[in-house]
Amino acid sequence: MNGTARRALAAVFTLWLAATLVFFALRLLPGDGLLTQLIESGASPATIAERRAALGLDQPAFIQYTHFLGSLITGDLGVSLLTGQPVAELIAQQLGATAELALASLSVAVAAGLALGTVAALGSRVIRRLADALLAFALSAPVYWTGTLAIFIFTARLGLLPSGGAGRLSQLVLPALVLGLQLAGGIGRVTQASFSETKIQPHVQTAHTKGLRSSTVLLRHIARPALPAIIGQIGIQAAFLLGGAVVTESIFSRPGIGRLLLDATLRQDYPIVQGIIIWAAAVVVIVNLLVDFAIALADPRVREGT
Amino acid sequence: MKAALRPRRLPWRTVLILAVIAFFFIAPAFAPYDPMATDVDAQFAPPGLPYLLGTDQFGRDVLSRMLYGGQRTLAIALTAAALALIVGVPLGLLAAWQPPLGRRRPLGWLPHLLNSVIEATFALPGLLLALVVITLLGSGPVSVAIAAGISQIAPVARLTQIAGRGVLASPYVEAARALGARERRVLLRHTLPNIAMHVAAAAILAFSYSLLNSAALTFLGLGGALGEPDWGAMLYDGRQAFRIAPWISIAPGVAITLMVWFADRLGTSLTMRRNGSA
Repeated sequence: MNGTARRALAAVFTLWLAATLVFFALRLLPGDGLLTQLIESGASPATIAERRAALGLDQPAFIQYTHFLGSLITGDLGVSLLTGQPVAELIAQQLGATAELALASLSVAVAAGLALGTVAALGSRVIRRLADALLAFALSAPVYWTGTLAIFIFTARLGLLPSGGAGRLSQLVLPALVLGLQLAGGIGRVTQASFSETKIQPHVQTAHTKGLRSSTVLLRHIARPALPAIIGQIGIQAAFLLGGAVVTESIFSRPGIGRLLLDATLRQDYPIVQGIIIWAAAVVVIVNLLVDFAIALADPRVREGT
Repeated sequence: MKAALRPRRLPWRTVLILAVIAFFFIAPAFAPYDPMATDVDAQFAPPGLPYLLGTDQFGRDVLSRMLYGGQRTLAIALTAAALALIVGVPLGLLAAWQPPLGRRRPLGWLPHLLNSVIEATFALPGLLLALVVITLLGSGPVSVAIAAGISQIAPVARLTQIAGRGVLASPYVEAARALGARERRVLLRHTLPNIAMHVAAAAILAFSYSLLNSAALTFLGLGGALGEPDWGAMLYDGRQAFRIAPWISIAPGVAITLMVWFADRLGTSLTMRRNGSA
């Protein structure tokens, strides 16, 4: 079996295990969202039993599980406990807004991370220090704080940008910058570490001595070897991105999957929570596959299989 | 090898961060006001006198709330980190373990199973996993600590596993086995002490993420009673009124950022020592 097929199979296995873990965690541990909800709304025991039967919750866990897996394969993520809407449909409705935020923040993160990491490794002493401090800030300052500050400065004080909503480009700028800055921290650190290590290598000295332009040395002799590590880090940040989206969408009152998840958590609507986390795991697994593939393209040692 | 023989001194950064954490546990003693006391005449008072860092929407002193809040916030983060270590380190150690060759190989499947579980948990983003736990347990400070802790188990296990694998492949483990050491002894006496620095680095990382994630959960309104002083809860309060009173958010935000920054530096210094370059 070749490498790609083995990786894809491993990814499917990982996804199955993640879905199984989530399923059993949500079913077998105490805390029944439906029960809590219905009791609070004053439903009679008969109504509760009826709703449970309709959702298949009165079946043994194993039967529920086979049913769950069977539906999962066809892309059916179940229905909301409270509204009865299909979870897959709810996710699809919110996907656009979150994808927009994710792509914009990731672009900011890659651009800012590469730029900061590069000057933190190669700049003059003062610039190195400055970039290093900025990276430390990006890594340490939580989105829910920087987001609030950004709204205060750019919306409340300067009146430059809107603080919430979605649809227009101007409404995307602040959330993408805030979330992007945080993700830039990790990418910048890896770039910095890798460039700092490579710039003192003999082959870089040789390249300089040959009289190559410093931009050529940077791109060909310093950045090339660092590429696999940086691509790997971008993949790691993609997982953080989904968590960051929950907070960012909440601060900037944007619609999206993060908001859907938060609302479902507050209402203990666990089919939605379960559906979203399985969807997220699928995104992470697919991104990791793409990252592995990109690393293989960027790294001749992996490409040649040595 | 040489580094291991040198008597270990506590790096000053370790002392510093422990001192800062300790400070927040005695900080209430320095608080000028009761963190719950409201002053109806001084709602949204800007920083100055008598309220050095201003007051919030109920006229409560921001400085006092920040000093008190550290206790609760850091206690939640430390509990979460402890939970991640208690579960994650044994999990990682067992996942790194391979049954010795040449004997009957009972439990040979165990590392593979654990490895798959760690791998699968890694596909679930930390904050999202925490939200699943909150869905189960309901909101509240204990749920937040458990949720933040559970989401850090996989990273701790993975770091322990990577470090443990290296040690378990080394000649002295082979030698210990040749001398007839039981596997339990190999893991606890020969492996664990030699990955202590890696575990410490993993612990610091778990603490940072637990702090960020638990404050995020509290900020999102999942931390239970919001009146109690808590950095995440203060950010939640600040968010309601930051257009007119940004100082409510600034103090707890700076506190969280500094704490995570200290931890990051401490982790970096441990990693550098480990590599022998510092």
